[in-house]
Amino acid sequence: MADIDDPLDKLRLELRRGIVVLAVLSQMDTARYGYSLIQQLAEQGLDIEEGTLYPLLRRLEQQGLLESEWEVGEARPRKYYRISPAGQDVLTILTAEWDQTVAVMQRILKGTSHD
Amino acid sequence: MTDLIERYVHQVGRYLPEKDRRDVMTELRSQIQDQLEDRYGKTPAQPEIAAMLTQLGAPHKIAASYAGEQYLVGPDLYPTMMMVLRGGLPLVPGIVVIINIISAVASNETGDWIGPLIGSVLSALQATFFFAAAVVGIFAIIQRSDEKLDQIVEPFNPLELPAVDDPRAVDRVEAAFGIAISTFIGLALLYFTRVGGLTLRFDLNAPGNVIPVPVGWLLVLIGFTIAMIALNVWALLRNHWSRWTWLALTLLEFVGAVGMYFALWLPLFQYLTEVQPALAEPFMFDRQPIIILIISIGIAILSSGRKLYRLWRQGQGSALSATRHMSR
Repeated sequence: MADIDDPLDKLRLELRRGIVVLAVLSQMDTARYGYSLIQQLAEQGLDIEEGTLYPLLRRLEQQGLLESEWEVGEARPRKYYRISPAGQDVLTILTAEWDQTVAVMQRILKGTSHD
Repeated sequence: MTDLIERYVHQVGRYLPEKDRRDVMTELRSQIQDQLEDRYGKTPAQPEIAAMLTQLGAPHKIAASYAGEQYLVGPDLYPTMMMVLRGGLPLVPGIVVIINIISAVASNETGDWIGPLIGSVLSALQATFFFAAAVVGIFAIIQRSDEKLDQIVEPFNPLELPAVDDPRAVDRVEAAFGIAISTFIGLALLYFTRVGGLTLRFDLNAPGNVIPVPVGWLLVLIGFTIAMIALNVWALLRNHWSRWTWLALTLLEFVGAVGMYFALWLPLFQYLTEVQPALAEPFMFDRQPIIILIISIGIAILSSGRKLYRLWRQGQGSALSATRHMSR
């Protein structure tokens, strides 16, 4: 777990909190289990700690944004998650807001406001 | 391999609510095994498992992540609760020490002062602890009833904000403090009613030396205390005082002061005079109850009378302007 005594670590955690939800929802159009999702996101450059992701999957499921199913035919029982119709709607809205936020933040950070 | 994982998963499960426990434990076990297999193959060594579990985090922290944000008193109520505690905590030990000094004077024991001193400090600590627990308990109940309160509390409307010097304005900290103190006093009065008089030992089975007081007056005071709590809660929910509610509160303070005279001060000083006849001589000791009554009423006049006067004048002004408006 990250050392959150450092103010920079705290700020980094706050910044990532919302991003992680969006990233997870975006990858769930096919059914995935916890560790496969961590690998999938890591391959694309987003490292998420296991202690953050596993509880997050359950919370998103409780909020109705993900659906889950136990697969018992493999070497060990695995819980597979997939985005729900409600989650798909939320993902569409959040993606649009993300695009807008990125555009605004780029203007702000690069100081290229067209006032 | 499985022993260390089982021990870890079992510890996480201990902190989880029962309805989620089995499901979370099964999933977590599977996730840990997936991760280990990917990193170290099918037979990871004990140090490798330990390293991975260390990275995952202590069991209570993982369990807390599954539970989400949990708190007894949330960020909305916490500042108000701390203000009530900061206001009350310096007062409570002082009051208890004064009562203990009175008790020590009342007792006929002489010579040993270390025992009563230690007893006094312990009583002060006990009362402070109970006060803090009562305040936190009340705020925790308010926190739990948050959804229900939202249905009762009027929605915020900036246009209805009271003027800066509006006497109808509710000092939310003062009202919350009033509720906490009234609850604390109400519980103490209830205890005194149960044991039939005043005592400093809060133990129903062994209340110690009880100074008898009229139980009827104690019941009246309990009723007043409940009414004062209800009025403060009403003002907090409505976010303003009316002249009638403030009048009711002021009258309760007046009559409450009289009730305290009959239920507490008179029996207490009569008892002290009986056990220590020498006390009756200096400083008009036998007149102390009536002096306390006059001071209590004076404080009530100073604290509530001015606001009551301004509320009344404002009410008359509003009625007058409404009459003029209708006559136009």
